[in-house]
Amino acid sequence: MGILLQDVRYGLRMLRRSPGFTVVAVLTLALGIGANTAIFSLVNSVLLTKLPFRNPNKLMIVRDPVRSGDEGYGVSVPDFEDYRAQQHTFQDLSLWVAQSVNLTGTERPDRVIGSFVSANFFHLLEVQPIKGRTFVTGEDRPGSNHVVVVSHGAWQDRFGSDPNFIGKQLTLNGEIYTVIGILPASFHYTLADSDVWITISHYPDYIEHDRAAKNQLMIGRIKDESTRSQAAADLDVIARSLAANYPQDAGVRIALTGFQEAVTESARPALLVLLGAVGLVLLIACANVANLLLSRGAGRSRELAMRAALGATRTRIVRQLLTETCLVGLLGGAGSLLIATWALRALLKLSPRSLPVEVNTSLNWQILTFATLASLLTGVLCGCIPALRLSTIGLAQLAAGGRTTTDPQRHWLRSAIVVGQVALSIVVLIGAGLLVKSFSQLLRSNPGFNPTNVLTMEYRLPASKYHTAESRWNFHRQITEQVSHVPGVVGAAIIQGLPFSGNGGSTNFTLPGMTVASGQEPDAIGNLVTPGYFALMGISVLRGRTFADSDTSESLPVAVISQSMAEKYWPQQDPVGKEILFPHATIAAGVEARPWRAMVVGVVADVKQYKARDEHQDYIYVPYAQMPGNFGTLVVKTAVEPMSLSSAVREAVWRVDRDQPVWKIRTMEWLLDRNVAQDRFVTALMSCFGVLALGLTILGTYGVIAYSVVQRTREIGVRMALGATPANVLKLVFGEGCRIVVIGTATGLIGALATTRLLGRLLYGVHPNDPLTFALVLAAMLGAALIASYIPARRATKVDPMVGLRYE
Amino acid sequence: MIQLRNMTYVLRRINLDIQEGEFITVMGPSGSGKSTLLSIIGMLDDSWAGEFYFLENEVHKLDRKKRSDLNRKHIGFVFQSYHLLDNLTVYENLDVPLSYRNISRSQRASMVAEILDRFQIVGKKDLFPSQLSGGQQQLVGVARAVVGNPKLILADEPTGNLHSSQAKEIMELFKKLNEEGTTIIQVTHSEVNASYGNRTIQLFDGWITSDPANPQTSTPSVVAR
Repeated sequence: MGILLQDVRYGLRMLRRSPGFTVVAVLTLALGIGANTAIFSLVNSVLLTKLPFRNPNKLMIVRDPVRSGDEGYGVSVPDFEDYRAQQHTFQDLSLWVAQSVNLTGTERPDRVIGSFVSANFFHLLEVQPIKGRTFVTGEDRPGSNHVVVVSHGAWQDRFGSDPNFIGKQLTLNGEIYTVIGILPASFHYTLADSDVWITISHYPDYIEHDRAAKNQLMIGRIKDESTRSQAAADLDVIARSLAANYPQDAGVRIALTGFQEAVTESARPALLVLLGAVGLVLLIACANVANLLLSRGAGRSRELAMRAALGATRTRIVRQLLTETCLVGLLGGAGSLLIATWALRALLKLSPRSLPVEVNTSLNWQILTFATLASLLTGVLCGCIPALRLSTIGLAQLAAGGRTTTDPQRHWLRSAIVVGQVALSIVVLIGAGLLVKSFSQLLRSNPGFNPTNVLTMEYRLPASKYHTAESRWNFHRQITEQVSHVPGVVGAAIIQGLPFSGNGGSTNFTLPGMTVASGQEPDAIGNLVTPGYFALMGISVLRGRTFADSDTSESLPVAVISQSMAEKYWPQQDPVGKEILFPHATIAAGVEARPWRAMVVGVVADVKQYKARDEHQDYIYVPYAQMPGNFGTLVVKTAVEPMSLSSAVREAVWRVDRDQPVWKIRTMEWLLDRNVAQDRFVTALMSCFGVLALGLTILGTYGVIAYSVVQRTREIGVRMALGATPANVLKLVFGEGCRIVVIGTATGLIGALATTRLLGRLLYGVHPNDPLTFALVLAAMLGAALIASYIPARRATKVDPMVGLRYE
Repeated sequence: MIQLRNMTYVLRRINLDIQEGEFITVMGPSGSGKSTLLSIIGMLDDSWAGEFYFLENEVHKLDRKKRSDLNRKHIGFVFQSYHLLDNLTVYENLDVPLSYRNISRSQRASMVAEILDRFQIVGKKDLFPSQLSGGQQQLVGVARAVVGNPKLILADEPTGNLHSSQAKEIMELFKKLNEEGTTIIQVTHSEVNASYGNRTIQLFDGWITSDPANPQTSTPSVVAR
């Protein structure tokens, strides 16, 4: 311990004596470690933070791996009852579904986030209320009491932490509910942080006996003694049995997704890529510091020789040198915390909507531990090669009587380090280049509509008040008329699932003459719109017509389909006039599934529904008038800045129904922007890492060539004495830089070819081995690094041969 | 061959004539300007004033590039510290001065082979300088100086780092080269080495204090104590 303290004291003194070296090395490492700490903070918040439940790894979402999208998560009420009764590997299974709930009876109608759950839900999560109780067995049966559990946040923010809140009544979706419990502040249901919790039988789309109504999501807690694969196999056996007995369950399969995975799976690939890239940047920073240490070591040869002469073993010398580099690492680590905190805040400001969970920007023990370990590891990493090398030079110096000699091996090491730097930079830069190109493609991708000056807002009609199709259609029609008259409004329409809002749904269908087993029918996105929607959104009509006021509940059911669907099912034919059959389906929210048919009256251009990077999907539009659901998104084309009309539009809605809340008031452009938020975030970060890597590499290349010129002053002098011209010297030194850069670039190219496929899921419209991106990055790196070599090479031509010949 | 007129820098009003085929020894105490004189004659040092004629060329009127061309074509250097390039083999060291002239690769190979043979160091052609003794290194240094068939060899204390038998070997080599027609100017402290030459010039504080070819050499009183 005493020796360690002595090494630390001596190390600090050495660092004080070389302030230039210390500042450059500490800053370099602070940048590298800071970037890593910032990304680790994101990874820690998103991927590593444990969910606030007991044994959260045992909590699973049950989904169907065969069916995609939202549909893959759905389970019907009768199927749920069967799974629950027949399974052996779960402590229990529960139903959950989230949906907005209208809160009325207060000063203004408002929307709150609701969760509809089976009665055992809180028991399964092992959550105790801070006041009152949660649900009891039987409270989730149809006809049971209207009771509600309120979140701690809603109790505080909406109801002023009323101490006598239990027993109070709330009007939710037009019905009176009694508050029975308040959840603890620590309870965050990460899948949807709801304000109110109601039993599943009160879910507007709850259908008790229909196995086709797969509207709920099933979650479960695996028994302590059971494994995940056993539990999946257990449920899969039941699924196959249900499939054999009920046509609605044909083809259903079971897979389990952990809660943590479900929350983070969308961000995981991007964060892992960023973590990898920032790790490479740290390695590049370490390489710079290692090169600095090797250069500095030349000036310490006599000291090390003297230490060896005085009896220091090689281990002792290595330890002394490593202590110094660890001190540099720790100083860099301390600086990195400031950089990381600042960088993280800047990043979250840049793209606040790109991560699935809230990121904690404050320092905690995990971040501090990471930064400390990274600092020490970095110290050892950038110090070990120089330390091992310098320790042998010390002995060599002793043998040479302390005379300074040139050390070709050390120069070789320095060159090899720069080759590594160039290679790593190429990998990071190509990754960044691919993401930049992908992002630019994404921004240029056509969503199929014109988002300019479009204001949108959502609403859901309570079943208690709007229980007939006529009443719902009247509401949709009337608010469209009211809003159309608002000054500044060009037009208004309604769509059920607005593109890029996250809403949407698919419907099964068949065509006359198509033979397909029940449950195996093809599907398409199904949506409801009012007549003016296509014109308002600038969606081109390619054949036939769109909907008209004459398409009513009394007229022939009609549909408009997308271009992709027309080409797929009616190739080289006119689909207008053809019939689509819906065996047992509904498109409208809150409307029970039934067999029906519709005639195609028009074909419109393709529209992307969920993501800018999606391929075009088959799409069926149905007029609201013929299937009026309880959910709608008001779409308002404006002549002025859209958000400036939000209050006026809301007032227009309230002129139709004073108690009807509207929410998610957003512009279409905002929704499109949100859709690429994660891509922007990752691209911006990778670009920063690319610039950092390039900068560090240029510094490294410059450093090694400049040092080489100093080290080769004698050689250059001799060569000039032997007749070398400045051009010969330039060629000699610049050639060395070229060799390093070209070898590094070639190595990096191979590395990039091997690793860019890891970006595959993050790329859009660009191949992982895109030749143009590769060529541009290689050209940029070669150009920059060669300039970095040229500057010291040019300086070498100014060496005075006499100075060179006298140089030792 | 060489005429210096009123040459000044570290040197003080040097006037010196050297004929082709001479073997000149420059002597004097440390700091007297011996090495400076050598580097000026070798056209490595431009910081001087006066007139300098070399093989009918007015060096004082030439720019750096032309001086380098003259150096490259006519002058070979031998250094006290050998100044062989550590990371090149003996063969490559001998090839270096030739590589800076417009000579084809095959012709260079032939010239290096000839010099290796002439200096009897063929067996060492693939060795690095660190694998040679001091005497062997200086032998290579001399070979490198003559490989391009220079008219003038400038040797700055060529035996300063060698023991007596090695020094004798090198000096015999210089004598032989001189007898073959090469003009040699050496700087040395050794009277023994000086005896190999045919004219000894004494320098002191930048002044020529003695030159047998110019007995009227004037020395200021402050120098001629």
